[in-house]
Amino acid sequence: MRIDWWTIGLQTINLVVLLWLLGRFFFRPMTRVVAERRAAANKMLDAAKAAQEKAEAATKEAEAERERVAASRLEALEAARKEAEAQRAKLIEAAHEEARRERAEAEAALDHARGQAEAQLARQANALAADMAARLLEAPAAKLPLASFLPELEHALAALPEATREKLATEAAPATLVNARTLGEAEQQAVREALGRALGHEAVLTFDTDPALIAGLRLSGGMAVLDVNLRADLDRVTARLDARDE
Amino acid sequence: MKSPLVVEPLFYIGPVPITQPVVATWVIMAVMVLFSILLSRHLKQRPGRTQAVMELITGALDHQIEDVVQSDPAPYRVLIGTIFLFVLIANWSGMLPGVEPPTAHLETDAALALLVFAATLYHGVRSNGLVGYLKTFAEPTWIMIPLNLVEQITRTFSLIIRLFGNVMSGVFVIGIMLSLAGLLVPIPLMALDLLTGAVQAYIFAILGCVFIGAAVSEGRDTASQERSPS
Repeated sequence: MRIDWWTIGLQTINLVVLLWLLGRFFFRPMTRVVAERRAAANKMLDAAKAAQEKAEAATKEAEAERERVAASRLEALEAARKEAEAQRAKLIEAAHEEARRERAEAEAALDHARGQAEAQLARQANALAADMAARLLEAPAAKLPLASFLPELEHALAALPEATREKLATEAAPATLVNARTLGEAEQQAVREALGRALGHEAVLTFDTDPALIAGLRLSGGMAVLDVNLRADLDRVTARLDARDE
Repeated sequence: MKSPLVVEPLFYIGPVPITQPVVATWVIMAVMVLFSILLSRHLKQRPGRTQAVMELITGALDHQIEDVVQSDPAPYRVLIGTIFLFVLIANWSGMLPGVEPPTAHLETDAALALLVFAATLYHGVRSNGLVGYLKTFAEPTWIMIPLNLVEQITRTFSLIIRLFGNVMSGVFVIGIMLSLAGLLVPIPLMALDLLTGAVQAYIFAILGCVFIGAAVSEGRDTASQERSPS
């Protein structure tokens, strides 16, 4: 066995050269690229972290905004509710007012209607009373003599204007004398005489009968109608009563 | 019959005899450097398959160095990495027909061990100072100085002989097998040789790392021990 020192020397030199070459062309670039990648990765992680923090901040802000919006919404709702309540109270008040007014009107209308009904009732009562009086008077009135009415008729004629009196019961315009019962010839004559005295000229009369008068006379001719009978009296009394009741 | 351990010069450059291991080493160097240049020109932030594998190897180396030395691997990366890759490729180059691995010759192993020895001295002195480094030979007591000195030599020799013996024996076994039964029979042994080559490369690199780490940290331990009583 022999050691070749030349070979040892050459191999040593070879290895040193290889050491240098590999260090320069292999290990240094590899280390650099790994370090660069690590730096890039760190940078990316930092960026990602920053982005995450930003996103979190944005999320928080959005949350705050949402809460703000919710609060303002609640506020708006509360305000709307209050306004609605006020409106409702106003409406209720107006409705009450309206109801009160309508009730008052209805009461007034009712009062009026009642008054009318009462008046109507009173009129009916008056009419009934007049009717009753007429029925009551029928029998005794038949016994009244004609003469008891004549003075009153004469008095009424005297109250008429002169011109009217002259034209009444003339030949041209005879007057109609209505009595409750049929007059006899003598009575007719007495009437003619009495009227002739009152008129100042001869009375031209036609005679008629109307039981509705109960008792008494009605003289009608031209423009004048003279009532001297119980029916006319009753009518006057009824009218006075009606006027008092209204 | 001449000894297979003797290397005959292939040719001479001047007075210098150029032997087969030297030529094989040159070829391996050329391949490694070319590959490195090609790779370094195409390094990217997003690594391709080759770059990823290379990064994996350098990363694993860094981890191993860091585990052994217990400090930043940067100052030792190039030396340990180069030794590991060169020994690995040299061991495996024996699989190529007609190529005898350079590590199957004592001279190459001696050169590698010499490199480790020199690196041990350099890093020991650099991290502890010359006096500090020399002091580590007197640890734990001065009586140990001869032993420590001898240890430096013997462990270097053990490096040489271990690598040489393993690779050379593999080559021999395959040679014998080939001469006995040429077809298929040597294949399992060649596979074993691949494993042996990788293991030996790893052992050589790690042992170199351990020696350097010891030279660096012994001084550190001494210094801390000297400081701690006060």
